[in-house]
Amino acid sequence: MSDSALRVEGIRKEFPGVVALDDIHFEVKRGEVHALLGENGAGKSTLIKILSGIYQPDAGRIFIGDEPVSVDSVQVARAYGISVIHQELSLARNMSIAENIFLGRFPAGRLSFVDEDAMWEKSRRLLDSIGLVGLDPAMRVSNLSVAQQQMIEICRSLSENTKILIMDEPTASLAAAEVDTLLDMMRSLRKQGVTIIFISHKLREIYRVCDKITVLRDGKFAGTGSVSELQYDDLINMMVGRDFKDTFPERKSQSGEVFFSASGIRSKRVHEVSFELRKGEVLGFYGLMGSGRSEVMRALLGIDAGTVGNITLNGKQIAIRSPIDAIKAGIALAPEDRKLEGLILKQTIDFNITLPIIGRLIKWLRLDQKLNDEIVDSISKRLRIKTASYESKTLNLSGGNQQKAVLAKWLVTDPQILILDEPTRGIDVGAKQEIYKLIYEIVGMGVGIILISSEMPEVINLCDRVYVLREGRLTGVVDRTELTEQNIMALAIGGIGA
Amino acid sequence: MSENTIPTRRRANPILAYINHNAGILIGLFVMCVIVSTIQPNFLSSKNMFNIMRSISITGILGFGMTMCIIINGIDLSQGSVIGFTSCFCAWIITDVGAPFWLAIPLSLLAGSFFGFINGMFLANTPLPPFVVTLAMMLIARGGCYVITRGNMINVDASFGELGNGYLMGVVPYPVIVMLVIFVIMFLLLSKSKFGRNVYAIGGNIEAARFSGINIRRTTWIVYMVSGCLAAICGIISCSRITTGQPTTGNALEFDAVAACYLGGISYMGGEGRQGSTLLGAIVLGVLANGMSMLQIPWYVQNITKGIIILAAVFFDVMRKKKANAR
Repeated sequence: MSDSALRVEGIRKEFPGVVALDDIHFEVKRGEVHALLGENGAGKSTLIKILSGIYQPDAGRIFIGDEPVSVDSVQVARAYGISVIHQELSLARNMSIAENIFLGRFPAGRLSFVDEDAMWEKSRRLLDSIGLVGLDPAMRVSNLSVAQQQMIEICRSLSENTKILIMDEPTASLAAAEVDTLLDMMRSLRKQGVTIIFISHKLREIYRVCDKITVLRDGKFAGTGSVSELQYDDLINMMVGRDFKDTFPERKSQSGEVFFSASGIRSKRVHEVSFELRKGEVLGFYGLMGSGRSEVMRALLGIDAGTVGNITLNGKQIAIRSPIDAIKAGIALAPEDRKLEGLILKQTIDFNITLPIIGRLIKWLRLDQKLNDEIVDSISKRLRIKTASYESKTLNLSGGNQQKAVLAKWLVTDPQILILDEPTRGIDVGAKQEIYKLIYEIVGMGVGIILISSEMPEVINLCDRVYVLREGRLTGVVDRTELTEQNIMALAIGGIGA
Repeated sequence: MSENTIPTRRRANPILAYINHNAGILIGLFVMCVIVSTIQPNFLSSKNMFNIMRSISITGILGFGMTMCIIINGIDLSQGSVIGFTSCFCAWIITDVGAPFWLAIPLSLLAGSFFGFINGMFLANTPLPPFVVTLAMMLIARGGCYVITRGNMINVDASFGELGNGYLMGVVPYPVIVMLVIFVIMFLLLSKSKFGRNVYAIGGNIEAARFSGINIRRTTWIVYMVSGCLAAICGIISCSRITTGQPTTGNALEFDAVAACYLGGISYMGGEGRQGSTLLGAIVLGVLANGMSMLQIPWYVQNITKGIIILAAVFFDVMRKKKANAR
């Protein structure tokens, strides 16, 4: 018997229009803690979903031990002893710890009544085994911290005889002390012979607990090595180092003087962030998942509870308590999820575009149809929205055109600042180029654009300056002349030491 | 709580736990009783107490079924109409068909439960929302009442009235006995059985329940079948109580059941609620109605008061939870 716990060979997975994984090779030894590392969209999640039976690979083979297997459902994966701790916890918060551990497998006593005592006792022993000695299994899960809830999920996996535990960014929402506890627990599981695949963006944690690291980049295998041998610089180069295709338009305008500044932005996920914006500038905000790049803007605009020290616009101090204040001040946010937050999909293009200014168009219960049509027509032409009629539902538009409709909606309010959160997510290359061109046209009119993006090429090629965030803190500002992938990634991922 | 002491299995005294869990409503009930009995000492007579219990027996029985529906994030609006249908069917089968009582009762039960079966069938197997399915069933069952009775009343032999009007040992009304027996069964089902845990799991986090291998379809189906069956039992009791089958019987009673659940502190987000609390909610509604009648408050004011009290009860409950979450 070899010491391989899990091995994949030549895994390939395609989604319409995208190759999510291509020729992935990856091996985990028994009793090893193996880190899976890569930028957002590198294919980590897809790989996990294949290992846990949610997706089926288009090509390639999976071996457990040395047996070739096909993991075609979540149940099969579990039967092989693979279990996943997802980022969103899957606990019933209204029930007790013991009930959650035995959810769906309640031990029965007489008359099919649940045997509370047995359930309590078994839970007690499981909690003991992972070092949660003081916890009463009868306690409700909603009274636990996020970290403790994660432990309960781990207990549940253990009660099912898990051999391979996959943890998808388990430390993303934990405080430092809780992270320590979790890492300790991972070490003790390793001693018990459990194999762990650990996904994290935090290098420091990876170097503290993992034995090996495998890096994915753009759906391809980028390299693997043991933690003791792999140098920091090599790691950064594995994560970046892609060649740029010539997809970016030429920048014609220049940015002007500083006209907006915000300082001391604070919220639950953001710690003391300050920044400045120039007229006609494309300002980038980059960070890996969980770095708080969207949360900075949400706190600034009063969407999340938080405080902002000082906001100055055109030399005057202003206060923003809600998105309504922001729109009045001329700050518009095109949110990350255009389907959920940006557009009312069941309504027409016309309806969506004039929604923010509808108060101005309706006089005495009558819509000024002529003015409405003029506005919709001119903005749609300017943004080149392709549609048969402005009366068609936004639901039926392509992703790129939906994104243009979102831009149109905010441009009609004549903003001074436009915040774009992941404007090119999920749209194809041609549509991306269109959006890039529009971004340059908009800054050409003197509007300041804040571009929040997790796509490195976008940030490097479009932005004048880039603020980099890590774990809710600003780790640096990179100017146009110094914009390289290595510079940004080093700031985004942090050092190895404490 | 310190992290390193080994906890021992704590067995809370069930009575103390009950009082603790329902403290708010118990205080409210106590205050109400004190006010009414000071003005009207007759309120506290055992005859009046049993009157109140009989008046809430239907609300209580419906409430036990409704509790489970609301816990799984559903609702059963058809209960009142199913009562009407069952009572009309019962009267029809006794008077027009001539079935003996021992046969009429199980047949009526079966006929009424059929609506719950259909509700459950749709809600377990299709993504239709409970509000729509049970609303449609409410209309269908009510229509059925008129079909059976052709819009008239069907009188039943007076001896059938014993169930609804009689007393055990001359003291305890039979409907109260029925309610208490059902309460015990429903209590055990929801808080002790595996089925009950599955109900709470589905209400708390349906995805977690699914990944844990809980049969969501079957559980949902059973919940609505139980609700329909309990409504059918209420229908038979109603028929016996007035010894007629009337097409308007049971109109809007499902809302009293919902009110009892919410007064008992059930969570509007699902996943929480207990039969004992629903029983208490029904008792509060009964005491409220009885007390206001004794104080000769006109019935139209009674409804307004009822509405305000329900609003207040849920308001305080939501505020309390919000505070607990803010911690």
